[in-house]
Amino acid sequence: MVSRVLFSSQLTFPAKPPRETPIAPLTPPRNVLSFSFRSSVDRFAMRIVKTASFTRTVAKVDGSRDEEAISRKKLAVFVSGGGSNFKKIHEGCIGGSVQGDLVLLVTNKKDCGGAEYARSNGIPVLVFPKPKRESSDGLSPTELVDVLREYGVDFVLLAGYLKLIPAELVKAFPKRILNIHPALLPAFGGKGLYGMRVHKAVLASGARYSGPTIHFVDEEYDTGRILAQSAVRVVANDTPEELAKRVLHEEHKLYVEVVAAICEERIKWREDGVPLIQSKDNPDDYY
Amino acid sequence: MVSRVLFSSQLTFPAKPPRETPIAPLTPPRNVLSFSFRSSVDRFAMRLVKAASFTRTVAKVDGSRDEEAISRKKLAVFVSGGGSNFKKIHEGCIGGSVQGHLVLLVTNKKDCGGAEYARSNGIPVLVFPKPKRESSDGLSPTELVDVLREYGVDFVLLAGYLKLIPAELVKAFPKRILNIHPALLPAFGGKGLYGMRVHKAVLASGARYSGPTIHFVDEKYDTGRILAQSAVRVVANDTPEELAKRVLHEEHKLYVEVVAAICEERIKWREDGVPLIQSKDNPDDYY
Repeated sequence: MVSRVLFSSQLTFPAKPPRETPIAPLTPPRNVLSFSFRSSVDRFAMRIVKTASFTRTVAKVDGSRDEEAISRKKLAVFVSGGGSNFKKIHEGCIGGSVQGDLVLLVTNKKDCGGAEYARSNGIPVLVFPKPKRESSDGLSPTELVDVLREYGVDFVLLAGYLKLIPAELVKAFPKRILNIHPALLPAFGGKGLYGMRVHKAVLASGARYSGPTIHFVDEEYDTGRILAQSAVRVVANDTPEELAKRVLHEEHKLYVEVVAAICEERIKWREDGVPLIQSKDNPDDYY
Repeated sequence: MVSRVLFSSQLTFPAKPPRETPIAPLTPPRNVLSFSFRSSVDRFAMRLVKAASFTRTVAKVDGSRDEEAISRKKLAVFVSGGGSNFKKIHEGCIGGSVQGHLVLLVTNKKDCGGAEYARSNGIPVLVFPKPKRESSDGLSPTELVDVLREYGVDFVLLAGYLKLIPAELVKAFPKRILNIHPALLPAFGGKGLYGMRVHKAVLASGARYSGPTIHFVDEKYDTGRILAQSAVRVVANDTPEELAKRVLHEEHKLYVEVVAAICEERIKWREDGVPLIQSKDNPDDYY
């Protein structure tokens, strides 16, 4: 499809995103976007009660997986900057390690590195929100939700997006928006703590560990349920740039691994609301 | 010396703590308790400026150490509970891995495990603060400071002490009071977050890492400069008790290691105020 920057004045949905014809009734109807939690699922030994899944049939609990039964997920990525995590996820989708397709890039900076990479790779770019100083015909949050639905987006991945996600979007995509933050939340998070400011705060505190956190998004900055973390050691003579580099390396590995897991529906929710990832190699292991 | 529980009405300092006769003028006069920072020290490559030390002579900067020149430090431990960290530190002092003497135990619970262990091992026990319901002749904070000075205490180690350290004590012992907290500060710290409550909070958050933090004490709970941390992985089916056990194991190792380092004067302060530990094996390495 033709890459373009979409503005609301152009929103006539000219090129409909490709739609897969399901072999089995495995993708929900297009207008259903919330998770359907099963009410009766076998209790695993580790007290996992609910399995979030896109299938309406009873899941097999013997751990076997029907590879063809899980469809490729449609992913939208939100970026404000260079887009290095976005690129890694894209490479994973292209290369096959991630069972997903990147169908849309959303950015508040239409010329950022992420947007340019998207355009070069045939991924449509949507600007949101429009800068205030420009004309006032930017997308409203509800319109943004409509666009995402039209594209059939299953998951929204924030990868260095600096604007707060509107409440309408959070409500429309419950437990389907992920963010990555370059510190071990709940430490060093919240409004104003982004990018290099995070790494400076870590070094100033004397903390000896840092690393990326991937979490589900709720209506505030960096406070949703933690899904994955990876730790790096902070060394005595670290500069913010050096620490950032080591953390970024872990971010790339972690985000690709987590996106692969959500596309394969390996996210399970513990009784107390903590999301866990089911190991691909051993379905009885969670982490 | 005779072990006893000391109350303020008994404070005539009957049994003076043993005083070492210094061979060289290496211990400061008894009434000098604050650090004397040297003004002219070579700058290390990693931007260390000040070395806190008890000696008044110019330090050798070639990394060599005169083992006899560093006297054994006098340690006071504050405990409210079982005292497992206290016991480990005591074993280190007795066994020689820690160049220190435990000269005093302070507790708000005179029958706690730590107090009983102290009495069994000839360490005087001081109760502070006195419970409100008893007579009002408990030690005041200033009197507590006086007792510590009388005992020649070099460092105060909080090891599961649940009362807030009075401002008078913090001022009298700047950069010489350490605390251990069973989480990776600045996360999961502050008033009300102690003991099992910490581990429950960690599990509820979904954080994937926890572990002990040792920090210098200022006038609030858990906010002073971080000196050391050790990370343990949180696993999917952890209970608070299981996590607590894994963290406690690390606490014991870390506290003994850090107390050994402070007794050997291997704490160095970075320009930005973060304290670092100089490696024993390689004086050019800091962590």
